[in-house]
Amino acid sequence: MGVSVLQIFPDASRSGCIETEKLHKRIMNLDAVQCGMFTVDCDSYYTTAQTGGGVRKMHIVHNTETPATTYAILDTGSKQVTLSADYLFDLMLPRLDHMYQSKKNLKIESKGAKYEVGDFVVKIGTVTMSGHYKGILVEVEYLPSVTPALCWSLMREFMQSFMGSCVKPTVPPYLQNKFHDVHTPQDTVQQYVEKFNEFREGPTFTGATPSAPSS
Amino acid sequence: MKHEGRSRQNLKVIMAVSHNENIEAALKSQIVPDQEFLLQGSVMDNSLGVLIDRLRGLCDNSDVHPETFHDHEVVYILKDFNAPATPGPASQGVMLRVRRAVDRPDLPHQLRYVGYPELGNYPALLRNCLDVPVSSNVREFLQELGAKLDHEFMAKGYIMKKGRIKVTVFKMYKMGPGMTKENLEPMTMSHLVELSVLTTKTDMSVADDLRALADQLKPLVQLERIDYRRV
Repeated sequence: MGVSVLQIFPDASRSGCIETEKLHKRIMNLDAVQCGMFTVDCDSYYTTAQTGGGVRKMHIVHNTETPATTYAILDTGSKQVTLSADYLFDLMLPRLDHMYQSKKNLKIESKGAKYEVGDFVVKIGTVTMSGHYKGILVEVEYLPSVTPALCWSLMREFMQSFMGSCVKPTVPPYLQNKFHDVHTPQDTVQQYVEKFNEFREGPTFTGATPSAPSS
Repeated sequence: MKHEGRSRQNLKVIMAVSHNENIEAALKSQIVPDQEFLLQGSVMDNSLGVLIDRLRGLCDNSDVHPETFHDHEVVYILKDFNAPATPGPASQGVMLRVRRAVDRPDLPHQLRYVGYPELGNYPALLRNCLDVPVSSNVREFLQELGAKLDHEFMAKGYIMKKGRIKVTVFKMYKMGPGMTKENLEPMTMSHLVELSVLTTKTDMSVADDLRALADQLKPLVQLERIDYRRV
């Protein structure tokens, strides 16, 4: 486990496979080795009753990198608590349905191929929400370090080498808040939830920057 | 290249069995061990030594001294506290139990859901039960989830096993301000004895083994199925 950074890759054409093919070609040019597939999925549960302090959300995330773990991320609006639990936690959820109910149409996942490039692991994921294509999400993990502060500039340079200018020179806000902390698997899934929420909120998401890099 | 792309796509489809499908399949084929058989009884403190000797003879690994445990259990209730109280199970909410080993801080906390006893003529009390190992921030998580602390206690005692049967003999202690690990106030003058086994819906055969072990402990302990709704 190293440090992971997530990046939305702009897909102006909204075709999906053309852009992932492009990324595949570029990463293969960097001597990458494809090593299987990955999936990160997220189900969201909302409080059924208006209990005082507004609606609370609970995101249930699975990551194929940690297949025996279920992550439950509780978002009260002011505070986030991430619980790592055994996979059996999923069976607990139907018992909580008097308080929390799942919004089936918000089920979102990122699925795709995984590559190894030296000390980096790159995952190029296609994001779909209840079957509809939403965009491309790239996860880059740098294995030898666990502190973002010590490897961010190296990671940025690597990410820019195959994703171009969509990678901002500034540190992503999530990472900035935990710049000197030890990076954990929870940090990775929390970043996924953050990005998934961006995809959900933007109904026709085409990427943050119009200046997509030319291949 | 085109062909290669397609084969990759096929691989994606084959490997794209999501987590939820796995767990749903496991539930459908009823292989999830979420049923618990339970028999309970109690023994006075002055007979504890005799019972432990008897159990050591009956259970596995009789050559070693029984393993001890020291757990702290906190019970939360999750329900809509603002809703008006109505009769029925809906307003009672769900009880969630968090257990941690005081003597083994390296072990994960356990989150436990225990359902109501099933009706029917079973040899032991049968109830739905889920044990989930969780990270140590579970109490904060439950509080933010909207659950409220109901009660808490310490349990200290012995754990043994016989095949799939778990045997625990323990004493419950009060929790409160000023209570430390060394200075505990016992709730009763006796030890609780529990025989339990986790099983699946399709495999109920183990209940008879449970009953047999309970019979072997008579008349030292009278182990019974205790339905808390009737107490």
